[in-house]
Amino acid sequence: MSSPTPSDDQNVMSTTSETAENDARLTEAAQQQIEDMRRFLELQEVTEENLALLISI
Amino acid sequence: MSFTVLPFSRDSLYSSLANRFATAEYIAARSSDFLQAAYLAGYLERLGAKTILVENDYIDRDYLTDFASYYVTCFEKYDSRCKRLHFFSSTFDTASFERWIRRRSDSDDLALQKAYLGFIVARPLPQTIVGRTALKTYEPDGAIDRRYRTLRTYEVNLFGLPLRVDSLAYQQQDTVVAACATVALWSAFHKTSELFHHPLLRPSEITADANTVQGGTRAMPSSGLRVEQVCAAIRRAGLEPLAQSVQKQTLLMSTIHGYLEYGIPVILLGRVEEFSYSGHAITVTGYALGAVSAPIGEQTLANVTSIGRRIQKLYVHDDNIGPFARSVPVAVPVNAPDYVSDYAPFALQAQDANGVAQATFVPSVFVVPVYPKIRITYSEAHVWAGHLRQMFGFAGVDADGFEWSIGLTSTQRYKTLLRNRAAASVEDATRLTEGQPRFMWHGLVKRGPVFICEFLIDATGVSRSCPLLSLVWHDTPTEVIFKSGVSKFSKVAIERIYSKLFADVVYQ
Repeated sequence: MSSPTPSDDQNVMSTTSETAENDARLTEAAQQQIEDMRRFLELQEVTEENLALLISI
Repeated sequence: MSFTVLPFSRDSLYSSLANRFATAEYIAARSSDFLQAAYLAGYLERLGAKTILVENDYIDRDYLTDFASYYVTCFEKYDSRCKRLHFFSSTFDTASFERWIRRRSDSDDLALQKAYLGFIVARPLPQTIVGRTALKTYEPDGAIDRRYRTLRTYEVNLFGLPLRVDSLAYQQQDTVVAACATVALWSAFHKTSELFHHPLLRPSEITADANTVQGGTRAMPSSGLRVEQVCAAIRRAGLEPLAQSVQKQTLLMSTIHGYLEYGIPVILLGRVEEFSYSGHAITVTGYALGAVSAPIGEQTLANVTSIGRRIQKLYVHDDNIGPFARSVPVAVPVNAPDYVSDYAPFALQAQDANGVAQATFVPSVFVVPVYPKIRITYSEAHVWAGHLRQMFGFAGVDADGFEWSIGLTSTQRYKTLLRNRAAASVEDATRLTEGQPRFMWHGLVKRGPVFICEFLIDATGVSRSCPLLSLVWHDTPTEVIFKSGVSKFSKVAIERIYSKLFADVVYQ
């Protein structure tokens, strides 16, 4: 089994760094969307005004 | 004679509906008071009705229960018997029909069944004459993709002649034992009782159930129901009410599409412009899908372009108009008060059978009567689809042209669908034999005619813990791009952001 060369190590470090950057980008965007979606779901509660509506005609 | 056969016309319909309180001439002269009769005349003309057969002495269980609950104790002597009007697209006379029922012939039975358009029960009441009604829907039209998802089969026995009609029952509110919300529930229960096996309740029973929650006024004569009472009636039927306010961001068309895909009618509660924005209820029974987005409709949420955006009109049971009435999304009226215009994404303009505009309804709340195990809502399923859409974007998939169709299904229906596909793949075969939740949201993602992928969401689960069950690819180039793109992120990060289950599905 051959040991990793300095060049292999650099590639691994570069890939790791790139993945970390990608993860950070994804995390930021996803957290924003998760927060938007949480607010969207909260807004769907039936309001007091609608609860009082008499459906009569 | 126990029955009467008449050539169909507007006048013969009115005379068949008439009773001692409302003559045919009275109905014709006061069309604004008998909108339902006028609508039905137009609807039946469009269905191609040629003959009416009237059962002159008919006992209707719904009316009889209402009669026993209220009318029997009135000073006025109301009749307990109704008439039932049957409609056919063929022409025949009394002698022919007598011959057909006296001597059974398979070919005659089949011809009558082919011509059968359904029935209307005519109640012996002063004004609210349209009782239980089950009429065929319009035939497919090349230009309009009409989808009536809430139909059930009604078996009719006409003097020994078995007839069937696929419809959803409709009736006019009588404003005594049932206001509009009661009859909207009654129509919806006709389908949910078939889907979820709960007892089929009569209007007076629904009103009584609703009034287990005090609405601030007496139960009967019923002046209406409040949202909480509508929910109470649904609970008493053994179901759960999914009730949500309609806001600008509400995915109303997608929600309607999502529940109708399983056949569950959606009840819309709202306000009518022409009645000073008083409350009204309608039951959504179907929709028409166009080739492109409707000019007025819902917003897009989380970049998930839903099939709901292509809904051009709804078909609704509106007790002020009639069954399967067209309801077209329009802008909220400019004169609407703030408490309406600040929230409603659009209004719905009802049309009569000839397409003439009627009242403008602004939805405020939607209520879906669901089986208790259906816990994940359409909105929650849409949110998880939004997370998947976001992953598509990060993975480099060009998803801008994707259309997402998310509909409720059951494991039985889904496995039947898999088996019916032309060529079941190895993956399909695996899914056929694996255990699944009883109810699921089934997402289909397409770009034009190209089937990109499908996914399943556990509708019985917990939204926060990721109910996404599976993602199956049908378009190899997109699958390759997605899998290559996803590998640029660590699975640990995706687990941390969404959930382990979500990461497992996208990394499969």
